[in-house]
Amino acid sequence: MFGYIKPVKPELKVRELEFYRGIYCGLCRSMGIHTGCISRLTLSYDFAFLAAVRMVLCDVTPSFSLKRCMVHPLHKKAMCDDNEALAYCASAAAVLTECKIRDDINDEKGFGKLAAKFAHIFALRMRKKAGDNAPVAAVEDCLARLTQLEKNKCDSLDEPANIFGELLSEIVSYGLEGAEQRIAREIGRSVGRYIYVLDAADDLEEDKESDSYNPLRYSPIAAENLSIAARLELSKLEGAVNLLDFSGKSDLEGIIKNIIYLGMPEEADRVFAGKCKDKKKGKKSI
Amino acid sequence: MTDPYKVLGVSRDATDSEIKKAYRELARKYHPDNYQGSDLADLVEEKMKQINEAYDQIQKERAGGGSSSSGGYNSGYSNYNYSGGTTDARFAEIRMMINARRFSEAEMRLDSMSASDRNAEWNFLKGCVLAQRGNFFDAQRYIETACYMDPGNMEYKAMKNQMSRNANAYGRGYSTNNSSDCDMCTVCQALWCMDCCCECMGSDFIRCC
Repeated sequence: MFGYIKPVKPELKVRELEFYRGIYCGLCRSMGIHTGCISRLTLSYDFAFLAAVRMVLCDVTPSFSLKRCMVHPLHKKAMCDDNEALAYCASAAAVLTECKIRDDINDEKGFGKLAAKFAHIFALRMRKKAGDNAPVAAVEDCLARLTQLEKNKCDSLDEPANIFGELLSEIVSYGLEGAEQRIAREIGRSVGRYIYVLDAADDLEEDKESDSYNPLRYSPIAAENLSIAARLELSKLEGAVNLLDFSGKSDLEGIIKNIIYLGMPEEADRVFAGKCKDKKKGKKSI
Repeated sequence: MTDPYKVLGVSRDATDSEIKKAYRELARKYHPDNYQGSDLADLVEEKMKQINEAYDQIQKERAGGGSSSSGGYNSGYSNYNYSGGTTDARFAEIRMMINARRFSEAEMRLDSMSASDRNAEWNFLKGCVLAQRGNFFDAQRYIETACYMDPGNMEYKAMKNQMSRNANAYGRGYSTNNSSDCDMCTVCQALWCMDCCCECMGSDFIRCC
């Protein structure tokens, strides 16, 4: 996805950092198991965060074991063993990628269309392996509505941001019930809106050059206001995360709180200060 | 019945002041003001009730079974009240809807009003509805229009300020444990204070001053 949601590593405790790396590596491995080797390329920090949140929501106690992998062939690393939460995140990522690429085929022209068609061959394979363990219909619906807004050149930042929030709330809350579902929806909604606002601000210059859709092109908003809005979303996220039951999961609590209190505001400050991000990292698809 | 000590996150042999501190911390964290306009308000109320009950129970146990109630933080909502300052009956009705959290109804009513009726108050109320539903940017646009159309109105101005204030509530409860406040300035101040005190008592701590 975007890579806006990551921890500030120096502020993590050593064991929390190991734990986080374990989740990240474990997610990569689970993607290999459940959705095929190619899907491991779409691994992102955002889904590692989602995996951590899902572990708390579904009350999964992760276990770790030392393993080697292709990226780190020399050293054995502590990786989170495949579990319910990781398997779900792998399929959700696959479904999201496939839907997004299918969307691109319809939107792009010329070379972009060809590239999207090529990518779709692999994406479809991932999606088939993922099965139906994800809110497919809801994701498709939200992406279709986003495309519609783009076509209409919607000048409100809130409208597409809300739809993106809805998309993420469906993904975070899939398969949950009762209070957990409502907390998950709130987490998804605020994270989604936060990502959309940051991404719009971050890509504004690029979108102007390439003449792509960006609501900020039609109604510019001062960086100061964008920053206030991002903090408002974070305060909602904080409220929802405070309602999670972290008993017996102090490492996950440390990681998640580090991300929402340090990592996310830092990322927002960087974007709104107008600093460019490392273009090579993060944005693979969607 | 859940263990009240567990609810407050303290051990059974914690001192009274530790328990009080833990309780205050939780009460601040789950204060209804932090969840204004949130869908999760009822979950928080439930949580706050648990915390209050746990605290009361511990107090009772420690008072030797006496029935002293501690009078916990009451969880009343200090919600913004939209009923003030209108002269137009239509707007008064819409304000009532917003107070009753019937936002879509209020928005429908606002949208059905003709362009000539869309005065400052209309913009203000539209902004309030949007803000309640989490549409920060659109809300800001309408409220700013309202302030522009009626610059003297304190209600609109207060709302504008409140919107940016809500964002500042976040992150107060998190510390990274490394931000010790003991810099050189504090050290000097402490030395100076010590010196002064010593001088008061007739002795001296730092000879040269």
